[in-house]
Amino acid sequence: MLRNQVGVLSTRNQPQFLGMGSRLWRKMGWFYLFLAPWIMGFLFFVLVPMVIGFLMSFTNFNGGNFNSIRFVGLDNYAEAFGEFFSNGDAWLALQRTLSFTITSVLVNTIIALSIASLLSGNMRGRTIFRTLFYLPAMLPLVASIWVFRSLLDNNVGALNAILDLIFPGTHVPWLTQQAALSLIIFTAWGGLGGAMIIYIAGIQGIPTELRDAATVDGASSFQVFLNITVPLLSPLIMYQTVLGVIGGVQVLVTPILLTPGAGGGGGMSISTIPVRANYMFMVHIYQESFNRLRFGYGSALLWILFALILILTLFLVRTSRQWVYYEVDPDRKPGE
Amino acid sequence: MKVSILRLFVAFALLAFVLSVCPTPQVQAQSAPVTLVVAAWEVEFTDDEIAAYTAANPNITIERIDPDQTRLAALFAAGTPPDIIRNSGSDVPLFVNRGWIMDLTSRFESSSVISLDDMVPANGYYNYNGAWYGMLKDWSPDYAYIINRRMAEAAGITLPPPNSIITYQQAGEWAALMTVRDGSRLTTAGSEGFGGDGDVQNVAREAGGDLYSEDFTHAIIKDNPAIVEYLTWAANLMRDGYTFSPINPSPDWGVPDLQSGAAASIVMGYWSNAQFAESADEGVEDPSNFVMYPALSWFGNSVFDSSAGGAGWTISTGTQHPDEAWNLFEYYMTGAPAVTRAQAGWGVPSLRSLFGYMNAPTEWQQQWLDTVNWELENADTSTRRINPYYSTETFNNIWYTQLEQYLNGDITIDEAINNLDAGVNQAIADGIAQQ
Repeated sequence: MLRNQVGVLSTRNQPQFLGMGSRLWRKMGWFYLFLAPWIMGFLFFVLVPMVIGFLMSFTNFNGGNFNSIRFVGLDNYAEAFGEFFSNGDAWLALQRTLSFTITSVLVNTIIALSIASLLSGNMRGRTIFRTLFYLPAMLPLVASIWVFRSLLDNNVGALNAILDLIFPGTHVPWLTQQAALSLIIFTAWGGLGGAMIIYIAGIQGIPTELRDAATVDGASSFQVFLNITVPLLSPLIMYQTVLGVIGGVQVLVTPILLTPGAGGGGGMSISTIPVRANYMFMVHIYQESFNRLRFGYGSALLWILFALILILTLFLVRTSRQWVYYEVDPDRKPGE
Repeated sequence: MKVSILRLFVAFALLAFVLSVCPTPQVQAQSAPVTLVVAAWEVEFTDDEIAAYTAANPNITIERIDPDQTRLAALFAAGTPPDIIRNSGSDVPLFVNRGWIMDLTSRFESSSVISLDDMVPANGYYNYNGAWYGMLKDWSPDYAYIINRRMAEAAGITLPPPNSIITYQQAGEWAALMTVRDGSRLTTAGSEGFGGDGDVQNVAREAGGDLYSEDFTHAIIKDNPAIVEYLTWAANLMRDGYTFSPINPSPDWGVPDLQSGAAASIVMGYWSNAQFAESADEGVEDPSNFVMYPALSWFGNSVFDSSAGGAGWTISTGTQHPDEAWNLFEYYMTGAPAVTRAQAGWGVPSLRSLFGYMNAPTEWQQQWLDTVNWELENADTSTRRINPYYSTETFNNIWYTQLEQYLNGDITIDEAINNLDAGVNQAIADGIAQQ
């Protein structure tokens, strides 16, 4: 009896296929059978659309007329990079997107960490507070935006009405000239709950002896938080940062729906063009693809965005060696 | 013999693949069940109307879906478009150039219930390059000037008799008088609805020109003095705070704003009389206060009040049942649904033979209908020219982006208009490159 490479007993007399016996094939068959739904989903809903999108980026496809498709080579990419170097709409949108992403990730991280730290201690009512802070994460996005828009409306919003009571004559154009700030506030409000829960779990995993020892040595609460809690939470912070960057760069629905209809049209339409401060890269791609019906150019922009996200993620992973504390050596090879 | 699980899995996968690529046999008996997918809003093609049609045609099943354009694009890309598509007349050139809708000229010419001679001129939106691609379900002169008489009188304005020609400049002066502020909050905008591409085209036509060149390959904006003057006037009305703007937008839109008192006057279509009438008891402004005048005039001597595009039906090139789709089309355009629409007051019928069904239950609605009849006789209500190479929404998006920068003081009005000209012409060029 011989053992093949995976250690399964086989006999020379059993039928062999690709060097494996029928018993091994039966075991592998079950494995692939249970894996099949995921494989099919990945193939048809991820890989195939990616390939089609990539091929589309080299054409002038307008989304409906297959008869007029032409191969245009790298024209779409040339146009996109041309916009980057000539201060075009794509470049301005990308700048705003990066600015929004960096700001929102910083704000979300600081607020979520702070609240998680407060709610990890023994304070009365912490369960209620945790629930309240997590509630926004459970609300439907469009409904939340609708409510925010009503609250922040320039003329009839409740926020301006309250501010007017406290500071008479106050009229802040939250949805237009302060649109970027409103977007960051909304994003922080909605994303706080999920991050808070993760950080609370991380804080509760920190050995109390470390904090007790630091306290005994005379460290203040803030010093304990900064020198003990944050370093030990750094892997989670890294994880949240990567997710936040990936999500921030792809923001689409919120800036569009947070904008009142252009020219006072009202309503909530995905075709509404946001104010310039919230004209994000994905919004630009949506406008080019679905309003101007330039699916080929839109696909090229999407692939450029994909490359950008890849670069940003790799940058974060590489730089994490400088600031993320791992209890095990990430460079240690198995068996060492 | 025991069949291995893996062989079974491979066999099923192959079978699924083969079944998915094999075409479905198209041979059907005359009375074989047919499902027609109609992309139309529920309020325009009701469940009752669907039930009545299917009761009279038992072999027909109608599945209604919303006519969302993004969804339509996805359905066409997937090869499963609906049979009938409700669209705006202004979308017809775009739809034709994308190969989405069918040439129905021969069907119209041979129809026993729809006569081309009976169609109102506004149906011209559905005639592209000499071929008919559909027709309006109803339409409305869409640039009428509607003013709140109560607010006007409170501002000391003496309104002229109905059917008087009012200029844009006069409307702007009235807007300044009717604007109400509470500190820096705009509680009532004097007016709302200026500056869109439809107004621009009406002004250009009044001046004897057009927004687009003869062949639609470029837009003439910065080189048309009337358009430059109009856009400057509209932008300054926003700058001075007498109307909503991209930096101080309305939380809603024209009709609710007039009803709630957030706006004292609006530019809107005749069709809005039905919405005002239906919501008259909901604690809003009494619609009998709303006076409808003909469309505003830039030079004061002529009125252009086209339909912005109307709404109608077309038959998709992807339909598997063109005859059944046409039968439903004829029913919708001439049968009970058409009569219901004419009586409801949401628009003017697209066939003259249906005009007799229009009614105006109240005095103020009768005044509105009188204004429509005045316009039908005295104004130019023909279709505006729709550029086939880009969407009119693109014009408005580019303009509002420039307006925002102008109103924030980032650019001058001349720069805004120049940028609009450049942006629109680039969009047209991009559309031409897609052909």
